[in-house]
Amino acid sequence: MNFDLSDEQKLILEVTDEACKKIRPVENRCYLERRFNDQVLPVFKEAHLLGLPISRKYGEGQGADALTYALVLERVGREGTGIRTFFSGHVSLGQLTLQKWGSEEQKQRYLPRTTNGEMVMAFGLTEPTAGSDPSAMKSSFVERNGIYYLDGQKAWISNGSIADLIVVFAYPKGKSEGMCAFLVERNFEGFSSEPIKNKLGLPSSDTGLLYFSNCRIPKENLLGPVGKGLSVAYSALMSGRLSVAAGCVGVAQDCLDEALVYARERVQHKKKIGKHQLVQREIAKISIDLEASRMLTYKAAVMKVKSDESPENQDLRSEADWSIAEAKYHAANVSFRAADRALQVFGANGFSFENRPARHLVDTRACRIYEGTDQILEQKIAIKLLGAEFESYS
Amino acid sequence: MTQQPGTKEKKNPLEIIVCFKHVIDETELRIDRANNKINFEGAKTKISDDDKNAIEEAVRIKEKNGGIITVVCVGPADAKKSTKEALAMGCDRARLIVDPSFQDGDALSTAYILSQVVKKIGKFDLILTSTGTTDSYTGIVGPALAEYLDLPQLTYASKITISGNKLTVDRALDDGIETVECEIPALVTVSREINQPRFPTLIQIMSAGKKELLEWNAQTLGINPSVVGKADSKVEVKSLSVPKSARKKVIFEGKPEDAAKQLAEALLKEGAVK
Ligand SMILES: Cc1cc2nc3c(=O)[nH]c(=O)nc-3n(C[C@H](O)[C@H](O)[C@H](O)COP(=O)(O)OP(=O)(O)OC[C@H]3O[C@@H](n4cnc5c(N)ncnc54)[C@H](O)[C@@H]3O)c2cc1C
Ligand SMILES: Cc1cc2nc3c(=O)[nH]c(=O)nc-3n(C[C@H](O)[C@H](O)[C@H](O)COP(=O)(O)OP(=O)(O)OC[C@H]3O[C@@H](n4cnc5c(N)ncnc54)[C@H](O)[C@@H]3O)c2cc1C
Repeated sequence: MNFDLSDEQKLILEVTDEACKKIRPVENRCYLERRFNDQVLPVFKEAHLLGLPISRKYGEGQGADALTYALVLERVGREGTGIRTFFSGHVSLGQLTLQKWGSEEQKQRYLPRTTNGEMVMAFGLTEPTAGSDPSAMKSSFVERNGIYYLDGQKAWISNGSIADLIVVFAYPKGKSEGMCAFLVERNFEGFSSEPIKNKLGLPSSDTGLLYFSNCRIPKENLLGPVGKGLSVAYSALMSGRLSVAAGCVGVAQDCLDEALVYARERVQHKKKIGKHQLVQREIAKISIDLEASRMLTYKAAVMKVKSDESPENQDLRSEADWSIAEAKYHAANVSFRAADRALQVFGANGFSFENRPARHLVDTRACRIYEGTDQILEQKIAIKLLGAEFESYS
Repeated sequence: MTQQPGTKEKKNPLEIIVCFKHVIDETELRIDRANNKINFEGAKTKISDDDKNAIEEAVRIKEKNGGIITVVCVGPADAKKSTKEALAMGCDRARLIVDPSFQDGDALSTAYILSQVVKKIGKFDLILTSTGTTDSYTGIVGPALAEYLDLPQLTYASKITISGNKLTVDRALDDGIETVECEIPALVTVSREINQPRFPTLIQIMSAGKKELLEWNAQTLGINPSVVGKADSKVEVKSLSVPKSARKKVIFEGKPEDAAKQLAEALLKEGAVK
């Protein structure tokens, strides 16, 4: 596989870089004050990045392929997992899922407004009693006179309390099969939300709780075929995991960059600490991990591009799914270790949110939990190799 | 074709030429304080910031008045990426001027090369440049180019209006705004406050690849290598060093009132406060 970037990819990365440079000081302030960064949307809207991988047919969609989009998210990831998570919720889990499963009418109705940032998207699968095992979900719906009424609760939803349009999953009332997906607008009757407080990290990015109390959903907002909710969810997770992997590569890159700057400047024992061999080891290890993750992620992105080009080919899809799981697992762990090593190079200064290694350490920790925990992905990867009869978690 | 009586004469589209320099991104430079050197290794390149304002302004003028923009860059071969960016921002065609003999020339040499490029392009109504580039900021290229082409030059533009053949420019000066007018063709150097350059979309970036981008060299332009570049440079860069920013580290001792007084006096004396 050839990962040489085209001039076009380099240019879109420069645009992304400019937007990232704009958001950095704002993110610094928001992070330290532990408040939501409301400039992420306008800054990336100006850079036309809010609908990057969405088809040009819809509003500001730019039609980027999965690799180009991953490269952009890698750059965004350097600014922090909070900002990248906004993209994962809004674009990867939200808009790409709508684009894949929505009717033409639904896409025309919503995608122009999501690609231009008028509406923010989120993806609500997890519930207080259903995380790794979505089939344990309790949210349920009934259909009356062509309208769906939804009851239940969703927890830990990225962009949850700021979203205007949410992909939500529920079972028919009294059943634990036939899951359906819906497009729920923020202003639908019976819907409410609130931000989760006291999180370990991601203080400048929204993670929400969603409540549905007899929430009224018009029939035309069913997403995908009746009963195909789990398929919708799993396909969304492919795009979502790839976005996490790409963002984590960016985090590790930033940890390396920060460690290099610090090691070149800081003097202890009459030398730049970069001259101490044990500090060199930390730097070497971040770099090796980073390159390995980057290659896995680019490979996974190329597999996704191939699978997207032949959507009917199940073998390609399964290969891509597996590559993405490996990349996400690796990158999430690498970014966490890289943050820990960079923090160590910074000494006590690393133990402060004033410096990015500390923020990366707590923020990237979420990546080992969401979109498939480490354990679920380890099993998923092994089962793909062992064969379906070794299924261990369904 | 003969003009029908009573129909309006069809005006030719405005022909705009905009020049930019491909520079090293100064925010990416590493400074080696110990050796008082600037480390250029691995530094990224970009369109010089103020030149981006010139490109943006050309595009805005086109959007308002119609026209065709030719973007010109004298630079290294890897300036192709920046040239594509200018095309993505809305320029219509590009001339990238690369020749080993052009290297290490001074600003006058660049202006001379550009004048030959403009002559080869032929038709134009307006030439835009920045006031200076982010790397050397000599501020010479625009005015010297105007001289070579014997054109009116309107500098430090913070606003440009074109109406018919009349060009009106607000000049941002230290103590106010001066409004000047002339007839086109003319050359305008823009100041940074004139606009906020746009971000191109991925679609524009992709379509930029399909626009005309010609590479010209000394031979295409009929330039004698001995009158340009290092061969003819009147300016030689003797050294490049990092400004010293050593702190004075003065400590005023004694009672707080006295120390504060001494501190205030010292600050006044240094001109740090007025
Ligand atoms: C910051 C953040 C943002 C999030 N954003 C979203 C979002 O946008 N949308 C959304 O739907 N969800 C989101 N989530 C939720 C996330 O997807 C879940 O947290 C995740 O799927 C794990 O579920 P859980 O937290 O219920 O943990 P559990 O599933 O309860 O798991 C607890 C532990 O048990 C382990 N475990 C569970 N089952 C098995 C098994 N079969 N074998 C081995 N080990 C097992 C897990 O690996 C884990 O270590 C987010 C979470 C976080 C922290
Ligand atoms: C929460 C907290 C509480 C603290 N409380 C106290 C306290 O009560 N009293 C007190 O005096 N201090 C305290 N400290 C400071 C602590 O002891 C120092 O942070 C520690 O000694 C490391 O020094 P430093 O942070 O300056 O890192 P540095 O010494 O600058 O080290 C930076 C990096 O370089 C490495 N390094 C440095 N020299 C070498 C070498 N020769 N070979 C290989 N690697 C090297 C370090 O291991 C580290 O990874 C506290 C720190 C924290 C975070």
